[in-house]
Amino acid sequence: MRHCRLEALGAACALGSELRDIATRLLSPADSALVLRSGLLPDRELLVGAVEECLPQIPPHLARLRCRNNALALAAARGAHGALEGALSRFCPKRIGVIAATTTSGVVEAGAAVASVLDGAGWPTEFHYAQLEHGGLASFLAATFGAQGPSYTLSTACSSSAKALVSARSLLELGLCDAVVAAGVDTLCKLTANGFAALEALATERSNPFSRNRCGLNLGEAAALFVITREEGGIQLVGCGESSDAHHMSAPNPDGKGAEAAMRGALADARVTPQEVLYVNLHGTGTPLNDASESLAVARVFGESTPCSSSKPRVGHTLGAAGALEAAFCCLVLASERDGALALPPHDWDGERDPALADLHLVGANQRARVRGRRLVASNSFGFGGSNCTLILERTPS
Amino acid sequence: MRAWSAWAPGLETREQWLAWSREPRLTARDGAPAVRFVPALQRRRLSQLAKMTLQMVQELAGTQHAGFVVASRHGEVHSCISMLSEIAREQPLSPTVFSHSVHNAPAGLLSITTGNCAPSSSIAAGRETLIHGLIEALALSQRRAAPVVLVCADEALPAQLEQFADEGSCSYAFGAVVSAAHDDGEIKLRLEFGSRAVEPVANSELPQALRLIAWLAAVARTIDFSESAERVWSISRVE
Repeated sequence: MRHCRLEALGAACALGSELRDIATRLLSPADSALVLRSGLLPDRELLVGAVEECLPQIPPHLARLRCRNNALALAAARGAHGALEGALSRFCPKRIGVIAATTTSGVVEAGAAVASVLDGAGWPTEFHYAQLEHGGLASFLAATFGAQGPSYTLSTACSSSAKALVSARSLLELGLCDAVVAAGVDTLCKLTANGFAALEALATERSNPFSRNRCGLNLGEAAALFVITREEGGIQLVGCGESSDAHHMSAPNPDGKGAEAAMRGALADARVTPQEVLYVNLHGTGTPLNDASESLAVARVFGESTPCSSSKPRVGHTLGAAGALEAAFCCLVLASERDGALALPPHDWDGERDPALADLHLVGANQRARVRGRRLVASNSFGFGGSNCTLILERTPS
Repeated sequence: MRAWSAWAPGLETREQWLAWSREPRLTARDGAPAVRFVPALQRRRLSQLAKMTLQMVQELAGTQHAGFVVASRHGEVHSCISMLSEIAREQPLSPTVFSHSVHNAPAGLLSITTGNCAPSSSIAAGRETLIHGLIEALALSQRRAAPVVLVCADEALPAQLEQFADEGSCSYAFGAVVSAAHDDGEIKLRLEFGSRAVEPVANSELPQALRLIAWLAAVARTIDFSESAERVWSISRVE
């Protein structure tokens, strides 16, 4: 029987960069951690999920890879206080791989650099293309963790880092690696803000997933890193499901069949029934289209009684980081077990049901899920270009 | 590897590639396949990269597969630089250009134009993009228990970025149907990773995918891709 253990984890997001703080805030009655940020759009402020603390410095020998995206990854690693390095220490470097996921890479730095060129000042000396190219994130993480095995960046919009976890498991199964650093990192930037504004996908206030009043998403930035091995015990990645909508570049198929296929695929892979899943982390962006198709798909697969919620009103839609960050949230849910029940992240919305949507059981404040068998949670990530991925995690007794 | 194909400006047929492989060199920058199998309205929105990617899948369509991996070092970097310029000038972005500029746009377009709901993936790995594209394709093939299509493609860098280039900048696409199963396929290959003394690579200016095409067209047993003595990937033909 194959195992895939999420051995160590670090995360940095709007809720903080220490797991204990993130867990406390995530599982408490909702306090949105979004902040108003000017400068992302030319004409207005945006409510976003930002990592506001001072980020670690990127060391001089990696100066060429100096960008906020890579610094966010370092912040997530630092918040784990050596747990990631510790988990990797027993493996030979050539047997350690890296699969990193991002949609932005160093586009903040590239944007400033392009502006400098247009102003006639040429490329800034601190800019290098290695900051912008997507492969840069994997190179940076490989150098940071001393990983000398296969190392690449995966980029499939909002499903990116969920798919990074899936591919990490595959590399272990293929025997190409004994440990993989799987990560998702994305940075707030003008390019994404302007692009989503052009698509009219941004909410003017906090996003309101599954509400009849929902009107778009909030952007967020984050980093989440895992060390994944073939060990048994602890928190296991037991199921992965993937599909493509084959429908439209920036809208999901309203029938929700792609999302449904990803969820059913994960359940089949894990060999569990929908009833055994105690909680579903929804993709739940708060856009009219995502929530409509996702609610139908979730209801078809899990019914309307499985507790579910979206964290995006609290941390923003962290795009390439969302899959890994929300898997990290699922780990925190699984680790919260006390007196036979899991604490669940509340769904932060105005409570106004949309009659056109399925009537999902959205988690209320202080709600817990009684453990009645296996400890299983699921997480959805659905992205641009119709890339869908669902993960199922299990906490095994150990 | 069940089948393979390649496209570059002026290099479209297997014969042209075989002739090219006798003296491999950087391909040209400009030009795109006609992709007339894509409806005209969609076609005009496609970048050179997207067209080359779609062309590869079209040419490999006869071989069964259950997913796509698109490996591109630079992705839609032309679009990216152009959008960053518009932002610097405080001009609004086109929503279509933005949604077609994500790194996985070619893969998304593949699934949309072929109506294929199988999963796809998009990766980048600097100079090692081709090798890691193969690895991701093996990973996807293993979990789908079926062959998958790998396309490794890049456009030549925009002129303003050429000063940062660490390899030759040119436009090309390589496509192959690959399978993780041992007993599958007409070209059986072994992928190894390790460190050993290797001959300095004569054509290290060439992107990995072009070197692979040249090797596939030739008769040598093994090809090495080495960034350093400690980091050597080898692909060998297996009888």
